[in-house]
Amino acid sequence: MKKGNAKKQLPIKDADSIYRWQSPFFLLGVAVLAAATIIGIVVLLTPLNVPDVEMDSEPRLGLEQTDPSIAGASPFEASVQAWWKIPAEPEVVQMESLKVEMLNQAKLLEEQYPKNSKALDLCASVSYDLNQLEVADRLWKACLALNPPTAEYYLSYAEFLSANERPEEAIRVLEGAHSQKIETAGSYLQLAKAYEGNGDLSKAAELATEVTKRFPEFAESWFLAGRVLNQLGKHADSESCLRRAMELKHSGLEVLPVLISVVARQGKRDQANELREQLSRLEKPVVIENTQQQAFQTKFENSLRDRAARLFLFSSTINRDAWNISAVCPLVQRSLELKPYDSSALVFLAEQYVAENRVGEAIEVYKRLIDIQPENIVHFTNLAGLAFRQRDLALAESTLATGTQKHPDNDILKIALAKTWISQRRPLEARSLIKSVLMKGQNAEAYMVLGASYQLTGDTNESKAAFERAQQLAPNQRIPK
Amino acid sequence: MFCLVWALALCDDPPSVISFNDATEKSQIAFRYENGGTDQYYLVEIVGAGVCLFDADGDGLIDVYMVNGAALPGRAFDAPPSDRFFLNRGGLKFQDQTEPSGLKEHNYGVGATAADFDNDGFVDLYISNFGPKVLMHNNGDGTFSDITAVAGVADGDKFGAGVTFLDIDNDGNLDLFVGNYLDFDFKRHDELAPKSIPYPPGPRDFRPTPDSLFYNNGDGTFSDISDSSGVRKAVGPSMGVVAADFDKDGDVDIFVGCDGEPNLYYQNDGTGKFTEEALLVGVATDLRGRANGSMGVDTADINGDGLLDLAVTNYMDQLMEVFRNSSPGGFFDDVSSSMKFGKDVKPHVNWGVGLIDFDFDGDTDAYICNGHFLKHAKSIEPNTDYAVPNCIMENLGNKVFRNASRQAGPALQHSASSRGGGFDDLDNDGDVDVVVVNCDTNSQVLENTYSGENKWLQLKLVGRKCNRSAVGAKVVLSVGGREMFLEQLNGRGYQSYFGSVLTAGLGNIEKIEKIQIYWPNSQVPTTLFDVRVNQKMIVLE
Repeated sequence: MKKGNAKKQLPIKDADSIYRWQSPFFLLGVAVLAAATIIGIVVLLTPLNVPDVEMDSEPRLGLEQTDPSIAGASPFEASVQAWWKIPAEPEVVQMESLKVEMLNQAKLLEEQYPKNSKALDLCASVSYDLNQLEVADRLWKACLALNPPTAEYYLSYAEFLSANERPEEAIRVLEGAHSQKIETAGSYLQLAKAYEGNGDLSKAAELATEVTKRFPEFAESWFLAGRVLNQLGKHADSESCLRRAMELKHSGLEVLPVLISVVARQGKRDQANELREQLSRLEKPVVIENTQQQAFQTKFENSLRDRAARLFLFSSTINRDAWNISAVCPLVQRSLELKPYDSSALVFLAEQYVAENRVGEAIEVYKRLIDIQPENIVHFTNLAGLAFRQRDLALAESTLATGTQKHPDNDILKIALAKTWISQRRPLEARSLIKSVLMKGQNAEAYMVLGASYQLTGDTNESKAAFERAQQLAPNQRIPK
Repeated sequence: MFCLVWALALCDDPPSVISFNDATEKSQIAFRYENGGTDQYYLVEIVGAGVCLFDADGDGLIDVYMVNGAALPGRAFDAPPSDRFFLNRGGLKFQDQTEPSGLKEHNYGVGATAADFDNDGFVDLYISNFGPKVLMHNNGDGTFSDITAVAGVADGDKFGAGVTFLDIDNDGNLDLFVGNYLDFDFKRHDELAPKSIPYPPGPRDFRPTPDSLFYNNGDGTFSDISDSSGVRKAVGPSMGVVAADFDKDGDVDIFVGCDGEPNLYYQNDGTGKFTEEALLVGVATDLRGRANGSMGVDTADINGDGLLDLAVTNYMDQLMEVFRNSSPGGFFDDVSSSMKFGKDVKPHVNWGVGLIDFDFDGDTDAYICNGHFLKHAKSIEPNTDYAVPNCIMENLGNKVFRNASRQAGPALQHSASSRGGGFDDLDNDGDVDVVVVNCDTNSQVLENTYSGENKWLQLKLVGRKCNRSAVGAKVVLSVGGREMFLEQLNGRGYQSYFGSVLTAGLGNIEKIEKIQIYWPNSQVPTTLFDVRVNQKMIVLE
């Protein structure tokens, strides 16, 4: 690693967060939730399609028409198949057969997408998780041979190499990536770790220190700098770094053992003993007293379950990106069989159902999402929107009414519920609810609903005034003639 | 044919002069460790046992005491297994003398050590068991007597581990440190087992048991000073134990490897009072602050700076630790990664370890015993197995080790689930041979077949004012412009004992300019000048 490289501006601000976020699964979750949130909010903030007084018998509402994934013809053919039921409980797994299933899935993915770096990286990670080290090595090599511009793949391979005591190769991989300007704070930190593993302590210290300067909130880099400086005999500097890592909430269980020794080496035994007391308070009881609690073996099983669920979920995204639509839902469903309450997978499945015009199934998924995340109003609005699409006004109303009860201060849900009542030609209830919104402040959407309510009761002047007020507040707002 | 395949396979590797020949059959040591279980994988049947190498009859030949298991619940034997004692008859041939010697020990053994605790000229034996421990007094006539009750060192019915004799206050009497593992309970295991598949309940599922320290009263009895000495203030699931003057302050300290918990380091204040300071001195955890599954421990001056470093074997996927002693004050740094020390054994569960200069090139190599405890390990952990080869790590002299197992001969390709290892010159040819305890297969005797030009020296130290086994004595060799440091240790490795004769590899030199021997309770060293190489010397205090 040349000194100059280390001083390049790394392309991120919050290095600690970015490093943590580099997990593709985490990114997937964020992306799915963000998409769902946007959809939900868009649904509620779009103009109200005010019903004519001579309304036809079929209710119509802005809710159902404005969801971009619902509006218009679906790009996918609806599947003709029996509904898959979301399990109530996680599947009881046989560890060995689950491992085989995971390896088979990884193998299939590799066969299907041999030139897809994302797929190869996923397969490599799974192989590594399952201790198929040679396979993982081969897959990461194949992945990086595609010269992907994604730093996380280089980082994953380098972590693998370092963990398998191959620091020289890790250094080559990361320096190669950095020379192509594929870099993150995490990759620089991993490079510093590789230097440490290779015994190049001066280089490790130089690079780790550089990362701490550029990303002072990155706790892991302070920890690395601290322990390398300790090995170099720079105990005072090491102590400063380790204390900073502690301040940044790095796990004291790891930092304190090193810090205690560093402090003791400087002759500060009292301080060292105080830190030792601090560590003993952090340490968990050695023995699990209750035999019903998880032993580490149970954690082992849960860990495998998590990994498998992520594998299937992420496989589904790869298939979706490749327009292999028939494979998408079964893979998410498999993920949910292992973790039925995984909100990321549920949101992803709901979106996919909607995209495939499987609205009834999507509704069931949103019901589960509301059960597990009642604090998320987007699930209420999305479910209500789908209910409208199914012309199930009772479900839409009950969903929004429940949401309003749970979030009495939330105007979005109240406005949506009022819209529902407008569609049901219940203007007085809608007016009453919307007035409670308007008492709190001016809101164009609320005025639109208010106008519609007056329109339904034949109060033309009031209706006109409400629509005009809405337009004043939101000049782009379309109002009925 | 196998040899040909092996020879072809190592074409890519640089040559090494370390080589071994499987001398198991020749040695006539026919010992198969019996764990006494029924594949319930009780912790006690998993951990195996150490081995004890000592000269029982004073004939200058190292004898072998193999520690054995016993029947566990659900298992019965027509002829119950016992520990076995093999007397060295010379020429690397041993004779089973278990019955005549009175060493037919039927307890569930896990480790052992030996020293002349009563300074009568004969080396006694202390056996660590799952249950009461046993002290066997060497009667000097080829027989041993159980004097545990009189001596007061049974240590209750704890699950024992590594044990070592040491002189905590340099009064010339060897005291006894007893490592204890954990409070294993069959009932609790059975309760936990159904939930714990595919792994059996592990060390974190049971409460660790405190270690014990027994003070030698000098009259054939010991006093339990575990509390007053400070040893009992700390607790961990102890396994391997090694005692030495790590901080060079003239008294013996104790390092204890702990299974899945921070290691323990008892620092002696010079009066036999100990303070546990592993965290302070940097040996509690690895480089990254993680407590690993420590099993075997050994100490030697690995980097030639005159300070005793530590090597610790670990559970699978945990890099073995090499703690470099970085200052006379006794602070350590984990340098295993940069030394490339345990890379090739990292996938395996590691147990026994010996820091030995196998090729006499003047630096310390390492032998590491490997093997998972699950017979079906391969199906769960594809990078390791129940039976895997052990490993020789060759010190290249530049602070880097390399795996020399493939070059060391077909004997090192033998796969077994090994536990304890013992390292001594069994055939009196100067180089250090190997005894390995294996589960489910015969134990192995490996004859060191070194045939290079490097020179060696063996020193048998005999204390007169200090303890007769000279435990704690330090030796400084001035060789070719540099100094080499050795210390007479006792219990070490994985719950084992070996090294009653100190062996130094000297490289290609003709003579040793000076040897200084610092006896434990003396300020004045015994000094020898211009000592001939390739000889075994007995030095009396």
